[in-house]
Amino acid sequence: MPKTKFTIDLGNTQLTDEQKSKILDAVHKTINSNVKPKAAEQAVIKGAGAGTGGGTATAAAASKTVTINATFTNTDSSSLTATCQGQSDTVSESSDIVFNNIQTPGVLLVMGKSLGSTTVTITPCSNPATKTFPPGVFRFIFKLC
Amino acid sequence: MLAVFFFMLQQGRAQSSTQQGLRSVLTADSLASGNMKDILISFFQLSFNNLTGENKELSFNSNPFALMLKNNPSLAIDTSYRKYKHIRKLNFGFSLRLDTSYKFSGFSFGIKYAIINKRDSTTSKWLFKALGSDTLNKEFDVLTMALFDYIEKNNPGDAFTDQVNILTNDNTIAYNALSPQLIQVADSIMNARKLVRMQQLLAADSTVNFKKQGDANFTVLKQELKTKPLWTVNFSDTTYKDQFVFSNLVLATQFLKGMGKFRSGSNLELDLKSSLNFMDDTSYTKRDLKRCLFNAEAGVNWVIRNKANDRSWFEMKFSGAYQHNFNRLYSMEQRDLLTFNGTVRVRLIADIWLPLEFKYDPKSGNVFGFLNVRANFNTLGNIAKGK
Repeated sequence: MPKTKFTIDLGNTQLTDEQKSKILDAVHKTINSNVKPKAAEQAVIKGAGAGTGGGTATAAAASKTVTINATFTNTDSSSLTATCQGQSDTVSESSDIVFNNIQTPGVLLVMGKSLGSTTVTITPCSNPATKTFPPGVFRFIFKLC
Repeated sequence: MLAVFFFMLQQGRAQSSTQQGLRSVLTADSLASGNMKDILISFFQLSFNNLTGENKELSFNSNPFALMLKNNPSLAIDTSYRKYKHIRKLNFGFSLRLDTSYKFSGFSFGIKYAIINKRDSTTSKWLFKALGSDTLNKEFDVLTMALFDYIEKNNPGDAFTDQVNILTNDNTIAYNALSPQLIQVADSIMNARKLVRMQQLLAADSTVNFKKQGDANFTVLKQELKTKPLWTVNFSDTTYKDQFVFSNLVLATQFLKGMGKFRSGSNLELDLKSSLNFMDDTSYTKRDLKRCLFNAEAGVNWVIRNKANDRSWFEMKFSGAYQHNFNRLYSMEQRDLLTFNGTVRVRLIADIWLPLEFKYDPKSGNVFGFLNVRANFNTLGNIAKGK
C-alpha cells in the first residue's frame, strides 16, 4: 500500500455519504494541521544533521551564543571579519567576537589578513575548534555543532 | 672567547637542522642582506672584528625585545607587540677590545635606534595595505562569501564545506581536482559575479590553484619591502683598558635604501653614513675627549641572491669616505682624508657571514684590510615558536 494512502477497515459498520465526508474532512484537517508540519520540520533537521556530522539529528535546532577568539602574533597589523547567520563583526587586534542567537548546527565564515600568525578559536563547539593561519590572507569556514 | 663563539656556531647549526623544512627557514629576516643585518639586528649577533689587525674586537649585539620575548612568549601577541614598538626598534651591544696578543684593551657599549624601518614585514603599513588588495584576492573574497551564502542557504553538507576550505586554504590541490559539485557552484558564481581575473586564470589553466596564486602576491610584496628605507642613529663609547672612563664617544647615523625595482637574483642598495667621533687626544698626557673627527661615507652595496630561495649569499660594497679633523693634528696627519673603501661579504652558512673590509688612500697609496666574522642568530618569529 502506498505511504500516501490511508485505509480504515470498519468491519460491519456502514457509513452514510454524509458521515463518510465528515470523517474524511476530520482526517484531512488533522493531517494538514499536525502531521505535515512535523514531517517538514523533521526533514529540515535531518538535512542540517547531514551537513554537520553526517548523522540524522532528531532534536530541534538549538540557539547558542558563539564566541570567536582571534589572536594575532608577531605583528601589529591585522584584520579579521567573522560572519554567521546574518551577523558580522570585524576586529583589528586580538579580541573576541560574540554572536548571540546562533542556530546550531550551522557554519561560520572567518576572513581577514595579518602580517603575523592568526589563531582563531571558536566556543562552545565547532569543527575544528581552533585554526592557525600563517601571515597573509586567510579564509575559512568553521562548522558549528 | 673563540670557544664560546664556535659553541654558538654549533648551536646555530643544531637549530637549523631541527627546522622542519626550507619554507620554515626562509623568513623575511633570513632573507635580509648581510649589510642590513649589520645595521639592525632582529635577535643577536656575535662578531669577531678585525681578526688580522692590531685592535681586535669581540662584540655582542642584540635586540632587547627579542630577549624579552625569549623569556615571555606572550609578548608576541599584537597588543604587546604594539606596546613595545620602541623597544623593538632598539639594538644594544657591547664589545671587548683586544690587542695583538689578545689582551684586554678596552670595553665598548652602544645603543642604536631605528628612526625609520620600512623593511619590517611584521609592521609595514604599506605591506598591510597592499596585502590582499590585488584583483585576484578581491575576487577570491567575493567567491568565498558567495560560497558561504550558498552553504548557509542550501545546506549542501559537510563534504561540500570541506571542499570549500580546500579551495581557500590548500595551495597544492588543483581547481579541477575539486569536487564536481563545488566546481559547478563556483563556476556559476564566477559567471554571475563577473569574477574576470579568476575566469581568465581558469581559461589559461584548469589546474590553477587560487590560494597559491594569491599567496604569490604576498611574496612579491615582501620582496619589494627589501628596497624600502632604513634609517638608524646610534651612540657608542669605549673605555680605557685600565680605567672605566670614556676614551672614545661616537654619535652616528646610517641610511639604507634599495635602488630601483627589486629584482630576484641581484639588486643594489644605497648606503649612507656619517659620524662624529670624540676621542682622547694622546698628544696630551691628560685623558680627555678633545679630539673630534667627522666621518661621512656614501656607498652602493651589490647584493647577489640565490634565485632558488632568494637568500643573499654574496655582497660587495664600494664606497667613498671623507674624514675631517676639527682639532690639533698629529705629526704627518692630514686634516681632510678621502678614502675609497670596499667590503666583500660571503655567507658561509645560514647565519654566519664573513665580511672582508679594505680601504684605499689615494694620496698615500696605502691599502688596509680587515677581516671579520659575524654570526646572526634567530629571528623573532622563531624565538616565539621556541625554536
